[in-house]
This record gives sequence, C-alpha cells and structure tokens, in this order.
Amino acid sequence: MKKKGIITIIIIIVVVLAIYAWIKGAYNGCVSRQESVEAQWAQVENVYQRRADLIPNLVATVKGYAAHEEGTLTAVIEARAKATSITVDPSELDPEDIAKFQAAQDELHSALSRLLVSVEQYPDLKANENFLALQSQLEGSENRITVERQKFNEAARNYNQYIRMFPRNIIANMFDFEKVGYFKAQAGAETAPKVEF
Amino acid sequence: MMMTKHNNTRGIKVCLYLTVFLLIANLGFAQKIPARPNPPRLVNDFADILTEKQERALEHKLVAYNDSTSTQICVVTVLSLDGTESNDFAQKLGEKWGVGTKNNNGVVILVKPKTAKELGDVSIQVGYGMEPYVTDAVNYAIRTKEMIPAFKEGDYYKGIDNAVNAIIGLASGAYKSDRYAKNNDDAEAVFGMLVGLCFFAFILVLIAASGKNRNNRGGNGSFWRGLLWGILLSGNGRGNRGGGSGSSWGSSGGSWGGSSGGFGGFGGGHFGGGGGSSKW
Repeated sequence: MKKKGIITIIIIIVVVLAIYAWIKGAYNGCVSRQESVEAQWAQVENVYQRRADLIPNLVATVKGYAAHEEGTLTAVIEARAKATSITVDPSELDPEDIAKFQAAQDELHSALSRLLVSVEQYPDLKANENFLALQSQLEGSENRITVERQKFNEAARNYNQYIRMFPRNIIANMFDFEKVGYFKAQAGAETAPKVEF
Repeated sequence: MMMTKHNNTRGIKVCLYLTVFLLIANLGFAQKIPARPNPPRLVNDFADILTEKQERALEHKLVAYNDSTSTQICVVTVLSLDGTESNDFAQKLGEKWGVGTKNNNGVVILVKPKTAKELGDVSIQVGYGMEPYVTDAVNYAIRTKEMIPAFKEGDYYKGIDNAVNAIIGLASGAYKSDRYAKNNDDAEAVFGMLVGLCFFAFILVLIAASGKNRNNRGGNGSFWRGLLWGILLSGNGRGNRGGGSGSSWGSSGGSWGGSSGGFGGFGGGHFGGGGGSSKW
C-alpha cells in the first residue's frame, strides 16, 4: 500500500515535470524566434534609413547641375519625408503597418528611379565624381534593402509557422504571440534602379 | 553468346542512365547557384577564362591572405547568371557557400565574361563585416577603374588580380586570423566529451550495482533500473552534443587536415547585399 502511494507520487511528479519542460521549450522557442524577427526588422529599418540618409546629398548634387528637374526633385524630397514619417512598432509588426511602411518606401523607390532616369540627359552631372559615388551608394542601399527584406520574410515565416503549429499554438495563444506581417513582392520593387555604365 | 548479348544491353542501359543523370545534373547546375566546391577553393573558374597557372597564382595569394587575416576573398566566374541580377547571384552564392568567418569578413567577386550576345557583368559583394572597409563608393571605383579597363582588353586575370590587390590593401589589419580562439573552442568540445564519458561510466557502475540489488530486493529494482536507463539515455545525448560541436568545427574549419597549405574551407559568413555591379 505504502509502495503504491510512493509510485503514484513519483508518476505525478514526472508528469508535472514533463509538462513543465514542454511548456518551457515551447515558450522559449517562441521567444527566441520572436527576438530574431525583431532583430531582422531592425536590420530592415537600418537599410531603409541608410537610403534615406543619402537623399539630401543626392538632391543637393543634382540641383547644381539639373535646375530643370525641380519637379522630380521635389517628388523625391516629399516621398522621403513621407517614408521616414511612417514607423512600425517592432514589438507588434502588424501586417497592416508593414504594408503601409512598404507602400511609402516603394513610393520613394520609384521617385528615385524617376530622378535617376531624368539625370541621364545631363552629361556633366554623370561625369561628376561625387554623383557617381552617391549613385553607387544608392545602388548598394537598394541591394541591401532587397536582401534584408528577404531575410526578414524568412525569419517571419519561421516564427509564424512555429507559433501556429499544434499543440504549440495553445502556448502561443496563452502568452499572446501574434502572427507578424511580411513584405510583399511587388512588380519592379525587387530590382534596384537600373543604371548602365 | 547469350552472355555477351546480356552484357551489351546492360552496358547500353548504364550509358543511358549516365546520360540522363548527367543531363539532370547539368540542368540543376545551370538553374541554380553552383554548389559549394569540394574540396573548397577560393578561385572557382566555372567560365574557364583563366589559365591553370593564373588560377594557381590567384588561389595561392588568396589562401595566404586567408591564413594571415581570416578574411576570405572568393573569385567566381560563370558563363550564365540564369536571368538573375549579378548582385543577387553573388550575394546568394556568398551566403550559400558561407564565404568569410563568423566575423562575416567574406568578399565574393563574380565575373560573367562578355560574349558575342551579352554584356560582361561583374559584381563585388562584401559580407557585413567588410562593409566598413570596402564601401560602396570604393567598390564602384575598383570595378570601373581596376577591373573593367583590363576586361575590355580581354585580360581577365589582370582585372581580377587588380581588384584582389585593392581589396587586400583596404582590409589589411581589419581582422586577424583567429586560430587561437578556434583551438580554444576545440578544447572546450573535447572537455565536454570527457565529462560526458565520465558520466556514462558512472551510470554504468550504478546500473551494475542496481542489477545486484535487484536479486536481493525483487520487483522494486526494475523500476529504479528503468529510471537509471532513462538517465543514461539523456546522459548519452549530452555526450553526443559535446562531440557534435567538435565535429562542426571540423567541417567548417576543415583546417584540421589543412596543414599542407591548402584552403581550409569556408566559415559561414553572411552577406547583406553591400556592394554593386557594373557591365561592360
């Protein structure tokens, strides 16, 4: 009788420990994946910021050579102001917020593309070392944006998949781990502005 | 008579299979980023635009640089980018092969030679850790001033060599070879394995003891024995983990057997799209 009681207690302890270990594993798995999504988002913001930081210099350089491009330049400045005003809460990464952020950034991208096309008519500007350096930095920024967006989508997919798998989704729901949004591939948005030398 | 006929059809069958296999392998090669070379090399002339001697000279220079600084500059030439942008191709290749070490100090120089139909294309992608040293503007200057003039003359070796020299100059002193740290990690892994082994031996002794007890006390022993087996299994797992981290160093470093002076292997560097491309 006494022996039976001890065995029952041990079984209960083992079951409780197993449940604890499972919850701990699931919760910590969610946390580490969420962390990497947030870190990757910071990386995305970094590269967008890098592009935004290049623009004042670019605009100033172009202005000196291409006075007739006032309209295109204003469009770039306005698009930049709009894009930098939209921020996404990294602890939420709400799909709608990401879509808004992406729309504003894509608008800046196309304004910049238009500017780079229009400066083709100014041979002096195209020979300017400063402009060429800025252009190469812009190209690098666009490459980085493409790469970091892809990496973000990968991390987000990994996290979303993880929190939605049964039975882990019970834990994820209990502790409010929510699905995060993705960047959507848009026609023409995936390629950097084409510049031929 | 029967035998030879049988052998013939078999030979034909083997030939057919081989052809199909090679075709599939070729298709796979053309459509995707090339697989990581085995044994690892820093100069991968898939387009065959360098002579044997030039390849060796470049490889020698790059391996020596990797040995002293741990920075890996990987030269790849391809005949087709398969419709992708050269920057994209080079970045994915760097990421897939893991050019660079954990400092992300890798550089990929990708050259697609000019053909009758298509423009030549060169991309230099730098790992995260190299971005401060090879900035986009400098990268642009290397491509347009060091590489393309030589490429236009048809001298691919000179162009690539110029670029390599420029990057070596820019990144000198940026990173140091971390063989010492690597050895430390190996020592740690070995220590982990030793601890695992001691634990294993300890458990074995316990099991032997419980086996004796079972004879004396009867049924109760089998429960304890089961529990001990459980512990043993988990202990075994821990031992394996210690060994696993050791072997992963072996595969990524590969420098265990690399004392002969060859390239030790890629170290899992990451690329963030820094750099750019030019056509000619």
